[in-house]
Amino acid sequence: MSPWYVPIVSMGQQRGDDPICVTCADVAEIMTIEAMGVEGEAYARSGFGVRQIDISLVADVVVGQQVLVHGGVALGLLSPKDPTRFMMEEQR
Amino acid sequence: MKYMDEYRDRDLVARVCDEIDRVSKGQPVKIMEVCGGHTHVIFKYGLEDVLPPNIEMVHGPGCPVCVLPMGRIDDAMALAQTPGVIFTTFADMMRVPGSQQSLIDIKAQGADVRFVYSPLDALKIAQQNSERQVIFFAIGFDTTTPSTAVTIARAQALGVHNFKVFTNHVMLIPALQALLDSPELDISGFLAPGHVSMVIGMNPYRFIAQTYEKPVVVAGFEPLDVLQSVLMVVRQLSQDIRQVENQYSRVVSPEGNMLAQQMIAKTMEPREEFEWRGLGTIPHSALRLRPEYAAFDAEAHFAIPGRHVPDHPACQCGSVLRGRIKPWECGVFGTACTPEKPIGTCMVSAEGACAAYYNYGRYSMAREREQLVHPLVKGDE
Repeated sequence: MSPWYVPIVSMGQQRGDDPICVTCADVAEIMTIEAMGVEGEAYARSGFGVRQIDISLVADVVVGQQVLVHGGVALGLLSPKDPTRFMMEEQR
Repeated sequence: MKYMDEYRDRDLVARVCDEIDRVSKGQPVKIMEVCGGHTHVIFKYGLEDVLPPNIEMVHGPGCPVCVLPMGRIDDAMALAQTPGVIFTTFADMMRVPGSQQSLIDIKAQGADVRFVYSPLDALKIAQQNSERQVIFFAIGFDTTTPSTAVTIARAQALGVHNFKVFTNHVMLIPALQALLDSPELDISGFLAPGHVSMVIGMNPYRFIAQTYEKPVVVAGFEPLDVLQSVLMVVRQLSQDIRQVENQYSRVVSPEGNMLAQQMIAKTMEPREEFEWRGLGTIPHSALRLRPEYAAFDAEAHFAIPGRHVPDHPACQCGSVLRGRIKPWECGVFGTACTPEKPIGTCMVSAEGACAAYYNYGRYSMAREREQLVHPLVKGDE
């Protein structure tokens, strides 16, 4: 199985047993920035290891940050503050 | 695992479903999840089976593979069979049936078709094969368009003129508008796709609440994300409020990714119209390269058949995509049309409603069939 045709569901975490094309689907893979590269590039880690990604469309990316990557390009930052979780706590 | 386990808590799922039941008060509610990713999550986790029976999920047209008309797939195959061309594509497109064959068929016959994770990988292939033309088959909604836009800008900056893009990027908002204008549509509210919204933001959905008076909730992709979004739609309906809410606030901001929007606007412009499978021709619903990037436009450099190809007469993908029928109501579902041998595109991609039903929806299917049959039996009595 090719690394880009991966058994995942949801936001690109590597879990589950059914293959989804992460690029065709509205899926974004959570990756952690490991090192900065040259001119708008960085090295980021996911469940499959470290890959070079483009970070030119997200501002102020730093090492250690979690980004959402689609088609090899980071499109968003994952906010550590999630109001959804507080709503869930209320529900609890 | 962070960002996963906490959104799959069994007790919370039960509590949220109880709350949906309490708030909805047994009133029938039809919610369209626009995104194929949501469809997949709903089936994989059996969410339809834990929702109260008065809540019906309708599976919308948000699978980019599913909405691409067969004629464009034939066009892609004509490009891939052009002598000297390296044709690159995302994995899902390999098995999508054209009118005669699929890309994987012509690859087996000798065409140089390669699948890539990113359009940037296709650009690298072009740099490594400067004597050959490398075409990237660009498909996808607003989430995927930025990666193509970045690649085109980089190809120009690097002067990689043997790189071309066959652009089929479509936009969600015009498709939603077309759906909302359809007199057949009977939907109480919408779950909007989280990652499309990460790019376009929340503002483009406001017309749905203001003009069409339907609640919209931007939803994440974990089971609790989806259920909580359903609860938010139901709450709006019960309180007679119509607005755009953001359940997926850990990712989506109201304005979206402005840099991505600017990159798309720099490299692409709307087409006059574009054909969508199941929805017909929708004006200004797809993108093409701007004239200043014509050097990278496959449609400007290669002869493309551009034929309109009707769907297989037995295939009812169009009705499925509009939420008019459930996948299992199609005459070829699960018999002539399976994920191993798909007739329609909804069976090809894992996000397609038919494939999701086939893989996960057997219990839902049995329940729905029972609900259809049961009233007749009662009536006979």
